[in-house]
Amino acid sequence: MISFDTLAFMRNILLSIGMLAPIQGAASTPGAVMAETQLQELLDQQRELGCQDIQSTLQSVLCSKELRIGVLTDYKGFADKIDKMHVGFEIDFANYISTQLGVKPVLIPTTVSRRIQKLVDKEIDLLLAALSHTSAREQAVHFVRPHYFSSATAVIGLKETLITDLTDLNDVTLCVPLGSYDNIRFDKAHARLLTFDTAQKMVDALKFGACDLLAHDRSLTLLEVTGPMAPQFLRGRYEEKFSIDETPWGTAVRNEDSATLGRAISLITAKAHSRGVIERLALINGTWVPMLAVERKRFESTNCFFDNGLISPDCLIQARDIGDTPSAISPTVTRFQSWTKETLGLKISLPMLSGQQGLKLFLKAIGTSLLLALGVIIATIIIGLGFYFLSKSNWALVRVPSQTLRVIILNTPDMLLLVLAYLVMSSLWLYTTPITIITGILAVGSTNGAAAGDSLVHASKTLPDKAPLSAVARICAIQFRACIINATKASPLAAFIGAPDLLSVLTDITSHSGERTVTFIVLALFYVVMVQTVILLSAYLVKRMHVPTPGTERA
Amino acid sequence: MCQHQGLSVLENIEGFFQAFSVNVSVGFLTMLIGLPIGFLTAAIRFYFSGWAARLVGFLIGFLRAFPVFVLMFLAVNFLASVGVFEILGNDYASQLALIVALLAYTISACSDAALTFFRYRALGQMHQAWLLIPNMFQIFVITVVDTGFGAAIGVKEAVTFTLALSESYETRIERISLLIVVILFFATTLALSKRFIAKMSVRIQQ
Repeated sequence: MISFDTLAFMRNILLSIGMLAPIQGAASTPGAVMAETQLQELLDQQRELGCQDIQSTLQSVLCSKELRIGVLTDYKGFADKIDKMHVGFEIDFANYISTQLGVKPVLIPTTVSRRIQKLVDKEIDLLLAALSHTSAREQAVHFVRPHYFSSATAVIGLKETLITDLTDLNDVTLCVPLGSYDNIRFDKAHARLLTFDTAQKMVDALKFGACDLLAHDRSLTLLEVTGPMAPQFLRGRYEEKFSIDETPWGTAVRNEDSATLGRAISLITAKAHSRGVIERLALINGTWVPMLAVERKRFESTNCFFDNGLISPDCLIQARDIGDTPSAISPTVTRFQSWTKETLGLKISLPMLSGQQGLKLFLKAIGTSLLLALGVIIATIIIGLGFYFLSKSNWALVRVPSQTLRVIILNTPDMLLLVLAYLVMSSLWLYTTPITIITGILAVGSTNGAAAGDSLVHASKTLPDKAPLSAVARICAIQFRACIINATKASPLAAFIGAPDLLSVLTDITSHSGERTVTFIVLALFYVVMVQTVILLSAYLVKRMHVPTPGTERA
Repeated sequence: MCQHQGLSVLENIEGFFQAFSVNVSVGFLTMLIGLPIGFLTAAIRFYFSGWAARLVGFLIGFLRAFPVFVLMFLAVNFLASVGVFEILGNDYASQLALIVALLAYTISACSDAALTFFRYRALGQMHQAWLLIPNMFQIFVITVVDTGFGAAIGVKEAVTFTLALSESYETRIERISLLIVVILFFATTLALSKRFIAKMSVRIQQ
């Protein structure tokens, strides 16, 4: 196995013997000269505008001499963070871009779920974070072309598993990355999806048997699981089963920066392809793909450049059109969107309703959230009663451990309990969606059940030994009710361990649609209404038990 | 067990306590904001009877019903859209989002506790009224436990540290062992705090 230390060592060797000479700008081609000339003209124009009246991001970057680049930190080979140092192919390319602009790179860590939002929110100037160029994403940001990379989505599984294409995914548990457009295709194939926000968590889940298969960019699966640089015990057990469409990766800028910063990055990328810089950076980082050689050839000559310096569309790869097919209610959704825009002046987007698969996922997620809420309420009641009865046991061997367990659970942060439950459950069973939901229900139910049990135990101490459960429940009805309400409120926590509830699905949708205002309002309304319903129903039940509210005597 | 990215056990323990100090300080800051707002809203609910009391009561009810975990995601997105992440940087902005989310619980809980205080005080039952103090400690402890939600948005607190550390372990049993050790730490620390609170309540009632 080749470690990152070895890679860094190899990189230094290559640097020292001059293999990276083109990166420093030694070799040149007609295409590179053309791109360089155009780039300098553009930069000069921007510099002439001065730094008083800033009109574009490029002007601002040149004045501040800093380019804020959003990068991932957990994508081995591409953008990783080792001992507080950013390393990888995308990091090297980010540094190259900054050098070409004559500015300092400021690498800002981002995540797959927030990368587009960070760019739109102006937290970064440029996004260089394994972003597949799809037609749907073009609505949110401007993709710089030529692309700097391309990768197919590979499906990985155990060597003995018989899977050859999408049709074999029916009822199979598939670990997928959050925010990937291919998730829709896998869902259409009826795979049971488990969504993870980092590649590391996905590989862990595969390693621990939480999923049958894993789907991710081939470049990553080669590095992490199946390729010569992956750990021996993984590449010995797993192989690529099949792959789906090759998708180009692009750097992205805000739409309003397409003609300035976008054009500058486009010329830099064309120049880098032309000189073979990108290809060499990929080789050093172990991420080389044939597309890079094709692009180098393409941009070596000036054939791809018009006289005005623009790049011919014939030389640029098109965005992949993998948007969702319109849903049955799509026309109504469109009419509603137009109405809000015309009458209220609000430009809203409802990505969870307009696409067929998006709508299906959305409705399924609502069902899952309701199931989770109901499940945690039942679990809270059962576990609470369980702790109460165990505390009443005559045997100290039963009573003392149950009390200790109750105290431990009561004082444990929910997130730790969830992860512990995930690790335990995935070691006992295949981590399917139902098991994910059950795990979430048990973990959240335990926390609140322990609290409910605690209130029953304390209430029973105020009554004679043989007092019936109904009398005990009447005394602590309000505390017990609070535990049930808290359990409902805590049910979305299950999203943290991969449960496909509304929080999880809508976060996934926003991560590739870029839309979030309406999405998060929908999310908030759903949970508030759900919790409020539980509050009202439980209040009605408590009232029927004729329980006085403490401190309300004055009223 | 191996150590986190080549760190020694002692360095990992030190890192954990540094991260835990984030939990405590975020919890403290949340209380610092939530406590006065909670008191103010309780006073309005108690001393006024018209639309103001009803409106405040509705708002407190709304906050009480809002899941902290969901609110945290809303806060992250809202703060990002208004440029707070750009101004404060990732670490502080995500802590701010966590504080905003926790305030939903802290304000409503403090408001309810303060309302009970006002009611008992009006009845002249001062021993019951001053149970407010242990109640406030209790709210603080719960807030500190809930700061663990921050792990989902990358706040560098104790749960995040633990989960990151556990990911550096190769086997499941090592990870489970680490989680159990940290769970025992939380359980002991918080159970002792609650014991202290209970004793305080008894002394107040006496």
